[in-house]
Amino acid sequence: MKYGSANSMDPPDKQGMNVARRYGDQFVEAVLFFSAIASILVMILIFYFLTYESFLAFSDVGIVDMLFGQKWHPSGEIYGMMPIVVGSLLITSIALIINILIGIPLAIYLAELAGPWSREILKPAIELLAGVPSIVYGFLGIIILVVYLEKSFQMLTGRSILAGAILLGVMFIPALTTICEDALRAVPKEFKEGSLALGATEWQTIRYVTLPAASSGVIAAVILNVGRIIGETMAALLVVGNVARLPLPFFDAFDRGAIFTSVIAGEMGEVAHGSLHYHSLFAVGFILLVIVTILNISADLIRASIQKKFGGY
Amino acid sequence: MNLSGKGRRKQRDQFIEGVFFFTAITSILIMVLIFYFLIHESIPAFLNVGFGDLLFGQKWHSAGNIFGMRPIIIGSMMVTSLALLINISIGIPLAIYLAELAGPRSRSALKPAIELLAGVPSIVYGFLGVLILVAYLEQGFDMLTGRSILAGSILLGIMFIPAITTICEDALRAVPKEFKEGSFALGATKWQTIRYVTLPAASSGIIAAVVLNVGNIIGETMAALLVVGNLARIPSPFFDVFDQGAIFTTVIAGEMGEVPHGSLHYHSLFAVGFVLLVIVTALNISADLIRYKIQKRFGGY
Repeated sequence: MKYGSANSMDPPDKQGMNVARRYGDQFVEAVLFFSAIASILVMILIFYFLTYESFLAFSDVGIVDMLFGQKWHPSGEIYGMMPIVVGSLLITSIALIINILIGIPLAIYLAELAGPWSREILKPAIELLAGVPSIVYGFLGIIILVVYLEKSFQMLTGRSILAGAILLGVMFIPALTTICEDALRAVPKEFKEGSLALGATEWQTIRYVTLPAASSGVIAAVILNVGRIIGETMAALLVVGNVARLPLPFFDAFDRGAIFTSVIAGEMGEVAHGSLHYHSLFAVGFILLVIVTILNISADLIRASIQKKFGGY
Repeated sequence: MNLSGKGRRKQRDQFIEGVFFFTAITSILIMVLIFYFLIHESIPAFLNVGFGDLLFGQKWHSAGNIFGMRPIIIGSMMVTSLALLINISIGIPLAIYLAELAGPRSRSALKPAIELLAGVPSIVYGFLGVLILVAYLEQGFDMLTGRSILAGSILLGIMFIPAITTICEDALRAVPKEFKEGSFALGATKWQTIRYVTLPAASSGIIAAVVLNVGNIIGETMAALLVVGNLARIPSPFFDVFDQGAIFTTVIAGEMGEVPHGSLHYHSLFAVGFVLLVIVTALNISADLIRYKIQKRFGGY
C-alpha cells in the first residue's frame, strides 16, 4: 500500500508524505495555469495594441470615412478602406469558388469513392501540398501564373486580382479537403448502408444522406477557409499587384488590387512611426483581425447550431 | 422501376464519379507541377555552383555571385530550435491544463482565446513584432537593431502555440477515461496520472504535433521576414542569437524582387525553395511515420 489510501484517518507519517506530494501537485498545476494565463495575455496584448494604435486613425479620419472612403492614397493623406474592402471581397469570393469547386469534390472522392489504391496516392499528395510554404506558392505564382496571365489575356501586367484569387484558391485546397473529408468520414456507416439498401445509387446516397449529415463540418470548413484566404499575406502580396484603387468596373478581376494583408505588408516599410499613415495601417490590421475573428466564431456557432438541429457530424 | 431509368441513373453516377476523379487528378497535377518547377529551375544552380558548395558553402553573397546556403541553414536551425523551445514550453503545458485540469469556467475562457489566437493573420503578428518586440529588444539589450534571430524565434514560437496546443489537446482527450480512472484507483495523484499514464498514452500525437510545428515554423515567411533582420551571414559565434540572421523563407522573400529572370541568383533562390520544400516534406512524412510507429508499439492515441 505504498501509494494507496492516504486520508485524514491515516497515521501522521503517511499524511506527511501525502502533503508533500500534494504540494508537488499544486506546484505543477500552478505552472500549467501560468501557461494558460500567458496565452490569454498574448491575446489581450494583441487586441490591445491593435485597438490602441488604430484608435487615432479612426478618431482623426472618422470611422465612416475610414471604412467606406473611396480612396486610399497615403501620399495625399487620404485613407478610405473601400478599395481594400472591395479588393478583398473580390479576391476572397473568386478564390473561394475555386477552392470549393476542387476541394469539396476531392474530399467526397477521398471519403466515399476512392479505392485503397488511389487513396494511397492521393492522401500523401494532399498532405505534401498542405505543407508547401506560402513563399513557394508565391514564387511559383509570379513565375508561372502571372507570366501566363500576362501572355494569354494581353494584360499590361499579369499581377491582378484574378492571379491572386487563383493562387489563394489553389493554395488552400488541402486545408478544405482535409476537414471536409474528416466530416464525411464521421458520418456513421449505418446511414449509408440504410440508403443503399433502399436502392439508392452511390451518388444519391452521397447527395441525400452523407452530405446533409456532414453539412455542419463542411460549412464550418468553408468559413474557416475564408479566414485563411483573407489572412494570407506572402503569396497574395506577390501576385495581386497591391494597388489600392477601386477597379473599374468594380468586378474587373483583371485589374490590379489590394487586400488587407498586402496593404499592410507593402506599406509598412515606408511608414513613419506615429504618423496618420502608421495609425491607418493599424486600423487596417484591426479590421482584418475583427473580420477573421467573426468568421472563426461564426464557424463555431454554425457548427453548433446545425449539429443541434440535425445531429450532424 | 423501368430499366432505362436505372441505366440512365447509372450513367449519371459514372459521370459524377468522373468529375470527382478529375478533381483528384487536378490536385496531384498541382503537386507534380510544384515539384517539377522547383527542381527544373534549381538544377542550373546545383550544376553551376556544385551540390556540396551550394548546400554547405560558408557564404551567401548574391552581389558577388557566391551562393552557399550554410548561413541560411544555421540561421534556420537557430530560429527553429529556439522558437520550438518557447513553443513547446508554453504550448504543451497549456494543452495539458486544458485537457486535464481546467474547470468548465476557465475552459470556456481559454478555448475561444486560443481559437482567436490561431486566427490572427501572420502579418498582424509581424507588424506587432516589429513595433513591440523589436523595439523592446533594442532597448532592453542595447542592440544596434532589435531585428535578430532572438526576435524571430520569440515571434514564431508564440505564433504557433495555438497550433501545437490544439493538436496536443485532442491527443490527450483521446486517451480513454479507463486508463486515468485505473491510475486514480491505484492511489496516484492527478499529476502522477498525467505524467505516467496520460502523457505516454498520448505521446504519438504529441510528438507528431511537435514535428508538424517544426514545419510550420520553418515555412512561415511574413512574420519572420519582418523581425529576423534577413542578413544571410553566419553569426560569430554561431550561437549568437542577438545577431541578425536569415532563414530559408526570408531569403527568398527578401531577394526575389531584385533578381533578374534566368540569372544564377534566380536559380539559387529556387534551390533555396527546393531545399525548404524537401525539409518540410521530410518533416511531414516523418510525423506520419512516428505517429504510426508509436501507435503500433504502444497503442497510443
